[in-house]
Amino acid sequence: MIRRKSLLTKIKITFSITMLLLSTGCYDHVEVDELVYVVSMGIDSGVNGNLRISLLFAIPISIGVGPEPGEVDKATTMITVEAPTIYGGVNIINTVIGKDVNFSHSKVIIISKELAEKGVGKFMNTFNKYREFRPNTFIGIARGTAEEFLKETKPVLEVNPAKYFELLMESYSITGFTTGSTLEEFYKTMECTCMESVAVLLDVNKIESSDEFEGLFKKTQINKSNEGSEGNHKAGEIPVIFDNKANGMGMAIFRADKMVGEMNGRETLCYLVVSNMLGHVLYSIPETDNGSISDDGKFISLRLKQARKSTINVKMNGDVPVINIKIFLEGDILSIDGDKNYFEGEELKELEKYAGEYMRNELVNFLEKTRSEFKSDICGTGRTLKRTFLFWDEWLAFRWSDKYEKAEFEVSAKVSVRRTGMTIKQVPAANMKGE
Amino acid sequence: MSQKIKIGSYETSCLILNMVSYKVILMYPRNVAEYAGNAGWMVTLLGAFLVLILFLIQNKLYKKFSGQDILDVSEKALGEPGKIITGVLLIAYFLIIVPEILREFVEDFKVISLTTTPTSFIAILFCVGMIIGAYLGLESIARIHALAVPVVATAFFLVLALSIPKFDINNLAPWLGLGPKKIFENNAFNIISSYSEIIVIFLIVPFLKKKNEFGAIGRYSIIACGFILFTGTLSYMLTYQYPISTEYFLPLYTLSRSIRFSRFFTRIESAFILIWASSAFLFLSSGLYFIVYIFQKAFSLKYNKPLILPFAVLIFTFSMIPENVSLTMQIHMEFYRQYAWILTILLPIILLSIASARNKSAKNKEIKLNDKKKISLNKN
Repeated sequence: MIRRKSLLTKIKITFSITMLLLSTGCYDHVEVDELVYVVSMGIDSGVNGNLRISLLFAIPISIGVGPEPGEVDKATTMITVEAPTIYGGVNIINTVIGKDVNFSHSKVIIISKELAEKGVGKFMNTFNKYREFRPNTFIGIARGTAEEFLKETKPVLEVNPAKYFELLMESYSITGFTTGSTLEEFYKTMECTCMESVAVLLDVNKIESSDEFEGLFKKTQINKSNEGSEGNHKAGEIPVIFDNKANGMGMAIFRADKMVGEMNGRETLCYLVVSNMLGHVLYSIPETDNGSISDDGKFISLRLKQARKSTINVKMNGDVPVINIKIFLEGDILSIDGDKNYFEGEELKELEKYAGEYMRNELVNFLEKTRSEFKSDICGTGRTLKRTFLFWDEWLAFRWSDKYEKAEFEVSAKVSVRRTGMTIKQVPAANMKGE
Repeated sequence: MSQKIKIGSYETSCLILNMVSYKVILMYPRNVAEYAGNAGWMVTLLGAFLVLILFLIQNKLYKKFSGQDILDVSEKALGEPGKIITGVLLIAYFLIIVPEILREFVEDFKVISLTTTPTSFIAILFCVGMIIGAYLGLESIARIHALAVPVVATAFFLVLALSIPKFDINNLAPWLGLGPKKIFENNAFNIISSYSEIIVIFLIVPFLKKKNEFGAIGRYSIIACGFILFTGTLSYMLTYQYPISTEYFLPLYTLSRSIRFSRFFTRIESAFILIWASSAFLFLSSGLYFIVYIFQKAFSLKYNKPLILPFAVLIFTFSMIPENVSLTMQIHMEFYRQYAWILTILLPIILLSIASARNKSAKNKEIKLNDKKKISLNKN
């Protein structure tokens, strides 16, 4: 009996060890050094209808091991290939490099504007189907070519290229000038019957010296109310000289899967405010002189964030949707160029009222642009209207995207200044010295 | 043998919970979205409610047969042939559903993790787990369920809780989805078929420590299963609006993939695979055990262990028959969703009704016979 028990135990142990060996995956085992990790992928239009696919690979040894810093210049390498499909291109790259390309750590996918205007649906289906593309991978639209953008990307302040791209794409919450567009969110909004997609606008700055800034400002479209504002630029047109010429500002607007237009940084901020995506923003507004914007180029700088979530209500007036949007922002005064003391009493109220009205105008301009120019409900105002429907077929027949083209906007914006920074009063030196 | 095995109410509830709710980590939320649209979450609740009512009817009829399983009841209702026919029907049910689920788990594993491993190799790994489970017997299976189900349930709810930032109430509108007419026209029975594995309660009952808790176990298990299916479906639909909700092959896996908290807490799906594999092993080993148990009982065999290997081979073979994933899903849609309820919910009601009626008429005959005897004795 004892001998039989010990035999059974031996069989059990042998069986368990065999199972452990089998379950380690004889077929699917993979060594990390047999893979090459893509940090970013760019897709451009190639010759004869092909796709030009650029992959930016991470070179782990150059990124640094443990506490040792790596070499920024050698942290990545790039390869470009042309093929009819993305996976066709990947296969060619695998053949050339002798390693297996892996997308599970890729941070951003960049599609050229030219391709985006033709439609990104087929790419989104590709990313959606393949398990290596993660839903949180960012998506951006290159105004020029994605290949050029990746080539010019030099993350001088960050050794880890993956982290660089993550920080760049997430910076919208502290700048307000770009947007957070992930593959999942993009796909969800692209397929949504009540909302349209947006993606970060990316490009390469062509200017070499600050002497060329003037030309840039001439190129930038400026409307009177926000003349001189810092966010009136799009990627590639930012007045900045920096080692890294690749940058992002503004957003690409889509209708279904096709890109229909671009918006600059300031308009993107409006989108973030209405969509409740804003973290905080350093926001400058021109100072007023007796109710009108002064010509002496004086500004008030505020740090703004959302005090309450913005509310959207839609009511149908016949065939016209009346969209009511309420915004409530709060913030601190960072600086005042002029001599006026806005820190208390009536002046503070005046500043709050003025900032609210200024923001309201910007929001109305932004919303009207989405309606009239792009015919694209990127803020998802249709979602609230969808709640009034009971049946899917009724909602589909309603065709919200067509109704949005006739939308009227009622916007109210409130700005509340909570703090005044390290000072609570401004005493102009010029007044005391009689200048 | 069966007299020695004793299972507590908690273990039984855990077993039923896993047997019914495993589908929430497979395609259930997607399937519900497909036939009900945005109203899928309501349909799940409705299904639980209907099954609960049907179970209350079953329970009322069953009270006279306390401690007997469905095969005993069928014998009482239709005699020995009735027992064999019921046994064969239930074996047929399990022999369709277990290989189908085995194949589904295998294919899912192939898509998300073991991409180059042959399907048969993964299926064999699952079969080994099934065989070990079935060899250890119902008591061990139930106890492992009691240990594993709370862990699996905690991990499941954790995944749902971490998805909350992605929820959007607007995704549930339009509220009635495809409309009651479309939902009930072709899918009225789909709704209750989702709970068809509840039949195992009628197979476990002879092994229960407290047989009078049969009703309570059934009620609480249905409520718990309904809650799990409901929360899983609702979370999925709150995250992915219709019709995107019909696109994903593995709804909850997709949901777990999208979880991200800062740069440090990502790729939570690795934990999800563990939940998933545990639930699969528990379901499949229970399924194999019930097949051999029904076969043994239906054909009045002395032992059931020699049946384990042949049935495991059958399950493996059947699971390999569909050429591709689409065919596997077709079997699920055309057999399971349409007809499973007949065998697992309607059949027990019919058998219990017949057995009750026969019981009653037998008692009446006995009373009449006794009366006659008394009269003749009095006459004498």
